Amino acid sequence: MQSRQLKLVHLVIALCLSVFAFSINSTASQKDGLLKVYFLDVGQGDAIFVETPSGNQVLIDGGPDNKVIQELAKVMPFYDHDIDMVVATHPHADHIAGLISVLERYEVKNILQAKEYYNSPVVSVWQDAVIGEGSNEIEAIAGKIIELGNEVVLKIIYPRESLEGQTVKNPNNNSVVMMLDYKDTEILLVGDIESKIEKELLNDDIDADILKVGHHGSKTSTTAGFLEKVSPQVAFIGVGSKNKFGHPSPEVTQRLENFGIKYYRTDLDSHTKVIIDGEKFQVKKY
Amino acid sequence: MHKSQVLFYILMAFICGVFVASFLPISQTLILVFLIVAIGSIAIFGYQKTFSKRGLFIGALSLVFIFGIVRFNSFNFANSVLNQFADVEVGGRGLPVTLLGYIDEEPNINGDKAQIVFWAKKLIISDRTLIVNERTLIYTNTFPKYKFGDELSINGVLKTPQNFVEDFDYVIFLKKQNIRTTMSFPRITQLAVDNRLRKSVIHSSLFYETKMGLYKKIFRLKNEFESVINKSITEPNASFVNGILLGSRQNIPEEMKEAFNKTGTTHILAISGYNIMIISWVVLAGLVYFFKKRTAFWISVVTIILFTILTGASSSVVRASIMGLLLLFANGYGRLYDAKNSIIFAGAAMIYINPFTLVFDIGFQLSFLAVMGLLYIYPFLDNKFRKIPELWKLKELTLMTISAQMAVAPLLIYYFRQISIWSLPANILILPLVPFAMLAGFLSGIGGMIFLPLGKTIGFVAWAITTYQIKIIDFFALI
Repeated sequence: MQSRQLKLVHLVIALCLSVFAFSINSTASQKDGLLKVYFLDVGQGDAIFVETPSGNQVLIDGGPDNKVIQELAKVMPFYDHDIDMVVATHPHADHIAGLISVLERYEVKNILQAKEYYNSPVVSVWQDAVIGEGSNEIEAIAGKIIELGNEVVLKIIYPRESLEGQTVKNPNNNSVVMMLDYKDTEILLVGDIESKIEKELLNDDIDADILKVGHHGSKTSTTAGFLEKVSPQVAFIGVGSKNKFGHPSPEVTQRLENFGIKYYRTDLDSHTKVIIDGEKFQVKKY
Repeated sequence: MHKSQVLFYILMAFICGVFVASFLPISQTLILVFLIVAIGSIAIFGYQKTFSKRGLFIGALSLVFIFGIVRFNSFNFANSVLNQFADVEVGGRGLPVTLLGYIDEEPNINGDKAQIVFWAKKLIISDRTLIVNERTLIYTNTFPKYKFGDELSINGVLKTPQNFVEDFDYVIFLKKQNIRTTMSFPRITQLAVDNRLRKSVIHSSLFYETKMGLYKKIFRLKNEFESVINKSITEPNASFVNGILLGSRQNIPEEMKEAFNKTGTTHILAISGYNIMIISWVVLAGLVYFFKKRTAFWISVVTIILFTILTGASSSVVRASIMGLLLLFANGYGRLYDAKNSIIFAGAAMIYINPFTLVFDIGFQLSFLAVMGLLYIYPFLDNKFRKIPELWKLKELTLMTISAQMAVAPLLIYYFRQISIWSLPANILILPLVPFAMLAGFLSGIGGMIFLPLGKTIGFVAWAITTYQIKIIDFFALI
């Protein structure tokens, strides 16, 4: 009897080892010197996960709830509980609520955000979580450039000046706008900015290959003039199916089609990622 | 008639009473008529000239039967003060009231919304104050977060719940939890400790303070454990481990729940009698070296009771513990003195506490039948197949799964109109690993509470085992 029970333990050990081997093999095959950008399917909200060729990881927004945890687990290896940087574009719940659970579970080294104050119950919980995490805090101001290694850089385009101590009424228009740049390929991440800020940015260097559509495809954003200036080939919209706002608005999707921009929606296309080698990029399902 | 048979019939009479009352509305007059007949027959058969032992017994059974009906009715039609204020309209708008009380269960969070079970102690309307003592359900946002035991003042409009989909009786579902009213997005304020109102609401009795203090400590420990697991094991495995160890199902993703449902393995996702037995086996195995067998056995019983409290003593865990203990008594230490009566007694006690469980709680029915299967069908099968050699306990497990499945099959067909043929292979492939997953998960949690990297290291093992289990379930769910 004793020896038979021992055999069952052996079986379990063998099983564990094969699961490890299988998983590590598939993780290793992904270390291929490419930049990967995942548009996580977190329902009505944004969550974008970036992994650089050298393995640095950045999470931009976290969606409305802890679904982001499930989605992160699909794109990160099982032993990895660290994220190098988390970006909170603005303090609306559909962008930061999920980040609270990310801070609870992952070791986050840096947190990038503008320092405005916005009166909402989520914000106070988020602020406590940031303090509790004890990460290095970086204020988002236009002109800052964050090196992610291997020539991957994150350039901050907006807000133009420090918002420290300010209480904002419409956080959308104080969203952190960033350009993720890898050699010849550029991705513009605009948070939830609306037409007013889009107009302000027209004179900046915002030409990009890929656009994260602002404000979940709401008609408040993605004006024709802005699209013309950015002139992306591909766009991504973070929306939940049957959301109560009717996002993305037909006007915006029509506009994207008129410009000949291929767009992907997290509610319909679910798991999409962009793989970038510096010269060209590829959109893939995962 | 043997004494044990007398007890059996009496318990059955009570259960039948509850059963009948669950389906038919039985009025007060009818109950009185029954009562007169029952007492009359007892009087007649008790009278020495017409004495009949059997007649007397039938009279006693009718009395217990009526008691079952009364118990159900008193639970069903309990006087609700809050109900009187529900759906009251003043000038086309709902009548707002203020309730004072405390949060009675850990809030149930789903996405950006939360549901809070609130124990109302006082109701204030304009300048009048009423003492109440009942539960109500609050719908609110996830943030700000509230926790068990928070003392609140809430201001909103009471409503009676309505059924919103055809094939799910939401009203009964809430009533089963003793909730008859709801409040949507009320204004919530925390009562400060030195608040004058608070003192008048919650008479700081020693019992209340100790109970709340104890529960708060238990939940804090539980949350700490869960959070260590969450940091050490990636999803969805962490939710799975928390499910099998603590019975918390909140974070388990919908797709996973569905896959487990499809393959007839849902019982693994939550704490079931099987988990309870595993815990007691481990405790027993560890203690047998140090204590006499009998002492070790009782220590493991106490461990299970403590464990039940640790998980928050939700009704499903309590049920699992009772079932697990029954099985433990049945095939662990010695023999169960009287299996039939013990299980009927456990069932009757649970039904007495909440008469709605009998007819409206599918979980209760399933686990009850599964235990019946293990107690009655399994020995029969075991005897039939005694010639087949045992291999890594696989035979025992297969036969146990078959017995439990056979017992619950009629119910599954009645409720879900389907029965998965893959449930047998799925169960056999993953059940043997549940003890290992539980042990690794437990050590990871405890290790991580002492030193997080230790928890993470052990967590890899728990992750590997549960990954195998989840993949197996996904595979069978897709067939």
